[in-house]
Amino acid sequence: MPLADAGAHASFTAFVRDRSDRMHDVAWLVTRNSDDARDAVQDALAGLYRHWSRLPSGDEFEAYVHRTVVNACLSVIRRRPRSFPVAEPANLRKAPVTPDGVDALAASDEVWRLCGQLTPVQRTAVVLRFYEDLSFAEIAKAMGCREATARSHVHRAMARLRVRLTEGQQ
Amino acid sequence: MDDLEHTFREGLRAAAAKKPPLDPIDLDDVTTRPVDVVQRRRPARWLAVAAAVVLVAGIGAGAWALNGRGAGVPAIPAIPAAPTTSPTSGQSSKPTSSAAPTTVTSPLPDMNCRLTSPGEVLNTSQVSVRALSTGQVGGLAKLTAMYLRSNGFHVSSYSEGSHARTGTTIRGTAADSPEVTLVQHFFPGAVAEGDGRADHSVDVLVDTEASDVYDPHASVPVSGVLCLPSIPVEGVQVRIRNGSAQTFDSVVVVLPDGTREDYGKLAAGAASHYSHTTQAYGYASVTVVTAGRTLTVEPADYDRPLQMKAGQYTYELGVDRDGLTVAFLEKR
Repeated sequence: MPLADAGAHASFTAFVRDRSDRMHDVAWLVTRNSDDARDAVQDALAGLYRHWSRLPSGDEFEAYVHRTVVNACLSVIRRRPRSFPVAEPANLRKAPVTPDGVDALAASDEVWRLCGQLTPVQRTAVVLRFYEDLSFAEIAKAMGCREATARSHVHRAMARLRVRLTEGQQ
Repeated sequence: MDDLEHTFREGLRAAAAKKPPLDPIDLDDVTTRPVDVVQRRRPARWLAVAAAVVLVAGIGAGAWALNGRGAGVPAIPAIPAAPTTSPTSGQSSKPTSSAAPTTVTSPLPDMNCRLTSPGEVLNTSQVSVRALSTGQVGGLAKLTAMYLRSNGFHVSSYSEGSHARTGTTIRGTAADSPEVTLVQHFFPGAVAEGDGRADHSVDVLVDTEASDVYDPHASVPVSGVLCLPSIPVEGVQVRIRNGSAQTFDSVVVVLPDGTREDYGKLAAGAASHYSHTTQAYGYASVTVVTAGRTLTVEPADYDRPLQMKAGQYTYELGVDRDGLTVAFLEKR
């Protein structure tokens, strides 16, 4: 359903060019799966395109974009199948003993691993806060929840990371 | 901005920078798709109420038709009289119906009892919990449920406004039941109490937000007979067992998207907790540090994903002269 207005179509194309990488980053951090991230961005852009000529401007536009991406990510996660393929032992081979030890997990790795243990909603709040640098009010708007809830998600994640990093130093 | 926030920012930026290359956006697909992921219209609430009324009326009419006029719909379905055998009937072992009044009881909960092994522990994934709040703080029961799930508990349900207690109470079969003790660990200062329940589930009654304890590896020792509710397995749960005779100082599983699951230190013969696998990959690498050596198994075939049905699986890791061995076990 192409936009009737050629100018609107061109501005949408420019938006995709300018913003799709950033949207991909957010989708990747939330879904943690490249195929899901791509699906989520496609879904989000399809939703935006449909309303493109009627979208608000300024901060409201940004809030709408964030909410669209968040909804698309969470929707993709909800659609995931309940069973997952994992490593098949028959496909594994023995590797030679390597002399170096396992590197200590860097703090950044710990963040990534911790994010994998959060619920999708909590993870979304964390990504919006620390990757998109949104305020709690903006996160609440993007996620359709109360500001206190958004704050709670982020603080819980930070508390966990603090514990993890403290444990790692001991 | 404190150091922790800085760590979060840097960690997420590093993760985003390491994401796999993504296919470019298919603009044709975007501009021709009819979906709207932003504002899906929900059916009006009155429509849901009307549907419920029609459904209840339909059920009532059906029961009325089946049972005959005036019989009504019993509030509790009739339970057939339990067959009994008469101790004085001699050769006759034919069951006869008891004339004694029948006591209506709740069905026995789905529960497993077994004799524990020496040194066995109870961990969070084995415990089924309900989160109940006073309802004074909106969403508190849901938050508590999320908190419990993040620590590995099975949360069977949560309910807002289902009690009027002050403080936090952990209620189970007995105040000192191992499953109650384990849950209490996550609510410092909470009161534990027993109500003699048969199914060994645990209720958490809260009126304020729980303190934030993150300790999914927590466990309590158990001995004798251990009874726990059967927990339905959702999705794929994977754990690692150290099948060797030596301690693993660390076990790390790395999925292709960079997700690392660190199962930590595993004593000889010990098994990790079950972790929910949330990603779909046909391969992963496992790295073990033991006795000062680093052993790794890497996937040899990247083209054959394995679709696993919901259930619990164990990777049993062993060590031989050539390195690490892996056996794949399914819990039945």
